[in-house]
Amino acid sequence: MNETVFFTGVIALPLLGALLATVWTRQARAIGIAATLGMVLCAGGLLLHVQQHGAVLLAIGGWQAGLGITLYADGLAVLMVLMSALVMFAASVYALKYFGSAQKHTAFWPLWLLLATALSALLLAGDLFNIYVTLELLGISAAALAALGGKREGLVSALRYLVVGLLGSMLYLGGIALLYAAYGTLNLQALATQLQAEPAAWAALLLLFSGLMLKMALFPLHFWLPPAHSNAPAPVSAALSALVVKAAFYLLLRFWLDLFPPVLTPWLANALGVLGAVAVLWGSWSALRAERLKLLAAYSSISQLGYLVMFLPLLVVLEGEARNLLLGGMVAFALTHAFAKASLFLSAGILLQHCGHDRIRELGGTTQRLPLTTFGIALAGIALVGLPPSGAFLGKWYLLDGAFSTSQWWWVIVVVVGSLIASAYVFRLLGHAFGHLKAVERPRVSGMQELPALLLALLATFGLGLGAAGIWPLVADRSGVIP
Amino acid sequence: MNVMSLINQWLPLLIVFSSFFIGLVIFFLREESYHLRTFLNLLVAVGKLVLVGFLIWGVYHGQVYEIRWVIAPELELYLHADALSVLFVTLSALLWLVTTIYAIGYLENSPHRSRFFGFFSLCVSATVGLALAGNLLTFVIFYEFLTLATYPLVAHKGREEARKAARLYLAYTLGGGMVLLVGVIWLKSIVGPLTFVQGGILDTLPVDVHDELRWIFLLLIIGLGVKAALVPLHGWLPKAMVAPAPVSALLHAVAVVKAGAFGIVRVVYDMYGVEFAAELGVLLPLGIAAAITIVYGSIMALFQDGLKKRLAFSTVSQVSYIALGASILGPLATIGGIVHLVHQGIMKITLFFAAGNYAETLGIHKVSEMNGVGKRMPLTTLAFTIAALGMIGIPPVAGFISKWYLGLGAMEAGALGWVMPVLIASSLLNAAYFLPILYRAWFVPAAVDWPQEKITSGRYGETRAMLLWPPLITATIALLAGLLAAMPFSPLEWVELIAAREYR
Amino acid sequence: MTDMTGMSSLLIVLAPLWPLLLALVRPDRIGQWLLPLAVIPALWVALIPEPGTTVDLPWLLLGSRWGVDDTSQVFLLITAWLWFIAGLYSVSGTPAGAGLWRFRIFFMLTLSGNILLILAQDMAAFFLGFAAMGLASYGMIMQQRSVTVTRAGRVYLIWTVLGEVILFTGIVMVLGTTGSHYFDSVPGAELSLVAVSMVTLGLGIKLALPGLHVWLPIAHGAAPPAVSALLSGVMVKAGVFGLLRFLPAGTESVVQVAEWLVPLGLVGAFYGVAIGLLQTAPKVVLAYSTMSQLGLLTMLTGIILQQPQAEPALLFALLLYVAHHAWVKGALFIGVGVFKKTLSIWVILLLGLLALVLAGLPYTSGALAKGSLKAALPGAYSWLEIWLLLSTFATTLLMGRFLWTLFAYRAHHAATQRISLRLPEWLAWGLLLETVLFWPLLFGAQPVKWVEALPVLLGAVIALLMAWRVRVPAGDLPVLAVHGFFRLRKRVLG
Repeated sequence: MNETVFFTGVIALPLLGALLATVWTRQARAIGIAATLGMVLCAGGLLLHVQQHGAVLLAIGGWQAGLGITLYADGLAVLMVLMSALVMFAASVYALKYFGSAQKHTAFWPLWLLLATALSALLLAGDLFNIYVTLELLGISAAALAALGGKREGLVSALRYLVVGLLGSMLYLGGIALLYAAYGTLNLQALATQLQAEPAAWAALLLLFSGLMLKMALFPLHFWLPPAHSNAPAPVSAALSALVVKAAFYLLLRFWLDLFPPVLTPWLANALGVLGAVAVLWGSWSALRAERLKLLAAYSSISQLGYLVMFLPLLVVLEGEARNLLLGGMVAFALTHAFAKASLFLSAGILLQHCGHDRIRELGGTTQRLPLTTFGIALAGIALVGLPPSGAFLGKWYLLDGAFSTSQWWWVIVVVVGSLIASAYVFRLLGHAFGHLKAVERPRVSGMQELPALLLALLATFGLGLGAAGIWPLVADRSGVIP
Repeated sequence: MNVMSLINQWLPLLIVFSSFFIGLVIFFLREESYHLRTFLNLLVAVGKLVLVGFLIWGVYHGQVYEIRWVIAPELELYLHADALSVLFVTLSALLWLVTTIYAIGYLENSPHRSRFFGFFSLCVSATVGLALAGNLLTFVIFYEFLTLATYPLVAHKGREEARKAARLYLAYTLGGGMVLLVGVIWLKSIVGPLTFVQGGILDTLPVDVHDELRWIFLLLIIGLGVKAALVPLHGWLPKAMVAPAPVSALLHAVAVVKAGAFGIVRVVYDMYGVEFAAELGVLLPLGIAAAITIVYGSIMALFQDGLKKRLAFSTVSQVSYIALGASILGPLATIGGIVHLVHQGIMKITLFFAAGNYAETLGIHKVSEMNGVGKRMPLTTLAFTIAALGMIGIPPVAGFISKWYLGLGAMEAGALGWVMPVLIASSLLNAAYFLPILYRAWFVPAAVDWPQEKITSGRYGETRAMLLWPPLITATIALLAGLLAAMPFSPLEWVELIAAREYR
Repeated sequence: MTDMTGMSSLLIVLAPLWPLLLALVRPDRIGQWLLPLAVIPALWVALIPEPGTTVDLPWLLLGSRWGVDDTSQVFLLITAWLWFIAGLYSVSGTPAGAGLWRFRIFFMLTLSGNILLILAQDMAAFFLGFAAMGLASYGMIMQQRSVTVTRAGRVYLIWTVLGEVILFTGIVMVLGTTGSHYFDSVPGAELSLVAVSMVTLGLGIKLALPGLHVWLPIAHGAAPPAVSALLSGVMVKAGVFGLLRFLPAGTESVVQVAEWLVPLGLVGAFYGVAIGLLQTAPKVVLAYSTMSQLGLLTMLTGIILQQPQAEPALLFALLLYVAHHAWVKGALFIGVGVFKKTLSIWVILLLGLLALVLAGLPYTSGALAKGSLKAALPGAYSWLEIWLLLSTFATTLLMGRFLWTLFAYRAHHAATQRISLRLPEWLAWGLLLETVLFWPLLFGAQPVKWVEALPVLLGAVIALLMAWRVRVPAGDLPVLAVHGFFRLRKRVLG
């Protein structure tokens, strides 16, 4: 039973690691690395398994669905799991040298591994209640991690983050309560077959989506994100921006695809799409105006999530092969954003550590002294703009393709303008890298910090840009909503 | 034997990525390891030229070179060597070798050489890649890659001016790239896979999409026109002159500007098909834009005192000959346009080499400082003279051949009425801005002091050997390309082959 | 025989290339002597090979063919000989003395172009030769550094480039119709009127058609004597040669344009004289004379192009005229150079003789050329005879003015140091003088019609009178005769 091992590994390893790290603080780092590496391996195994055998359902403890905890892994889920495992692992390696004091490490690793656990569990959860639990766990551990920065503003924003997260969870909880009241089950599979277009379902949908939109910081509910993400420690920012918001988006997508099709109307899709479009433009514009690098990265996340939401209105209209293409493009985009944004935050952390601030205007000298980091930022930037080769390029390609083939050209304009602003903010940063410093002494930066950032960026660009063809068959195979 | 077939199979990939990987290696070289870097640079430049030699030989004998790599459903990277790509690849590989030599001489003792040569190599990979692109997607990818690889080169000097120019360059080219991308995706949503086929692939489409095809053509041309510096999309080019001379040379002769022009050629001939494009009525607007660009660039060049600025506007003007040739229906105009791709490259690179030599040896940056420079630097000035005369269209330099065929093509298509005045005006204007330079250089005695004499003329000639030889080589090629235009394997002969296949 | 053909082919190829090779020789002592030697292969080609000998050079340009036919061999002879003389004259250096090598390079380039355009049997090679000649002679004009010369050079260059661009356009149009760039495709081709006009305009600048002539007096006046000799003597004739090459005689559009060439040529002939009479510099007067003579050549070419059937006689006359004008005008220009150095009265006398030859004195080449011209005039153009007489008269007047300017120059420069001539200079001028005087004898004694000499005499007399500013008293000739008688008697009686 390979898949059981993989399933369990992905969730249990970090959980076990979190417990061990709490107890055995001295070896917290080693435990963290081992656990996240294990996650990567298990996620990889799971991916291969799903690739060969199709989606997998696992009922823990032998209870039948509806009673016990069910875990469910289809192509979409495994891809997200692998993505989060990779980012967590890279950020873990990075974190080894990031935190100066042992005290910080002691606080960091258990929370960090808890976050990893929550992520994996959320992505693989098969019923709405478990999702709620993992969502709470995710929100709390994320807020706690965000507070690790220790500065005053960091604490304030982390607190706000916590409150917003709780609010989101409450909305979500309201939604599932409605569903439970109406249909008597929270199992995704069961709900999917029963759900009908009726007021209860609509209300539930609104509540669920509002909660998730708050958590994924979709315009106009984005206000909390920039301060929270930009003030957290670098590896935490990376995970928050790359994974935590994406988990919310993943849920939105999953409900969209599997749960609510009877209820969805193009009107709703378009409304969401418009929000996404505004998010794209507003987020990019704010990123362009941002004074600080991490703030830039955070605003960029808002706009990137906007793109993901913009796929939805097309997803409603398109059918068959075209829809699968679009879906795959969307996933490629999401993956790219995760890797690229994580890389960018890690690199930003290096710059921040190195010159004590991250004011873009004054980064010129540092970027010249740290060519490898700068190179990583450049690659991540390419992925964020959506230039080839990158997964985002593919994503935008299918988005535009879909827009053209459904004659919805207004999305095209948004994508074009958004991409142009994105290139403006990326190269505003990179422009400073070309100066002629007379004495170029290269400071010592640990390869353990530079490499994860660079590798993530390479993954986002060349990896996904050239080697993403496997995504489509994985995502497209949605035969029967849940087996 | 096995090795041979293996090489044959991977040849396009080798040609594209040899410089890419060497470029990556060069990034990590220490600044001081001059010899290793030089060795690597020359090794890969010469190696690539040899590989291109294989390619020419193979393509001439009907060998098919292609490599496919699926990056997503319906999207594949496709490298394919046809006659047109071989032409451009050869030009790039040849001029890259020369420019590498020049750049090594030019950048002696300047900082950040590893970075420079790294991007320099990437830049050529991108150029060769888009030359070998077998479909529009691959072309777009390398087109964007080229933008990214050249941006650091423009910004290389790092001063505020250079950074500004680079930013402007980027704004233009990324904007153009975006428009191009939109056009390509739109086209793809109508047609499906966008493989380049001689004679075009769109003429079978139903009439009701013709309007869309016209709009798409506009988008594609705008996207490509930015790099090809079609007026009014040319604004970046004169500003990008702050880049070091080898970069300007490469930018203007082979890489960026040519990528745009090459793209236009590809779109007109191998995507739309020139006859279908004529049927759609999109060629005339393109021709008019090209004509305006030709005249406008020449007029602007008249008023520039900065030597490189003048050359830049000259590029604006000259590159549009290619677009002009593409916009006239008929094999002769096709020959004239495509052969100018090569001819303009060789001549313009010579001019920039020479301009770089003046700047690097004597500190001359302006035309008004060039009095008597012919006596001090006779060989450089001779090379400059040959290239300048070629630009005007004086035989036997290569430019003459281009104009000859463009004129004939215009006559063949019955477009003489508007093409000929453009050719005449441009030739006269070219003469008006080049001949005064030659006059100053050869006939006016020098001032007492040069602006800033950095290299004194010594036993080895007027300047460093690595600066002197490249312009001499390219000037000789420019001369021979015209003088021996009818020789087998000359650019003209090769282009005639392409044209013959296009108008079967 | 095959050896001979092989040799001819080799020399035909060598004729334009040889000067280029010699241009690479840098030392002045050898190099200067290479100036006349550069013409040797061309002279050989002009004399030895059978007309019709051609060499195909398939790789060159767009596929090239060089060779000689009847007409071009004569042109080549005329050209090469004057180049030889000019080269010989320049052996001892230019007046400015500076930049001998540079002068040689431009000399050789110009020479090479000039020979090539005559040998070319295809349009691209012709244009190459034409362009090379036109542009490189700029370097020959720019020998001295002065405001006048610089300006002259600039004006020359602008017009030359203009002419070349227009000619290029014309060539492309001709080529578009004929379909082949070899000249043998030209006869009978129905060209468009625009094509013919473009070719004519482009070459018309070389031919100094009225309105397009601005550059000629300026440039020819400012260049060194030997260069002016070449410019006026042979290079402008490329215009005539080109018209014959490019335009298919007798076709509709060509006739249309050629009909305009006749009056245009006449206007040029008299306009040149009229303005020349007002000039004070000897070389400028000569330059205007060139313009005037080119007018006659243009007229003649215009007639030839209209009537293919009368071509041989007319062509013969044209060639005679070209030879006549080329060598005489060459001798005149070089003579001015000699004169300016020596300021000798004997040189003025010799120049006077040359001037009369140019005007058409009986027994000279002038009379030969004009005589055969008149004889060949087709019936429709017999009305031109009177104009020819008038033109002879006008030319004589202009030559009188020329001699007057020489005297004026001498008076003005009386105090300057006289420079003795070097041997090559004497040799060159002497050879050319002999050529001018004796080549008509090759064609046997021509019947002299004294009526035709009348305009020359009349012109000479009037010129003399004007030169000495003789005041004619009231009652004119009789009174003059009486005055003369008294004055003579007074002198005889002491």
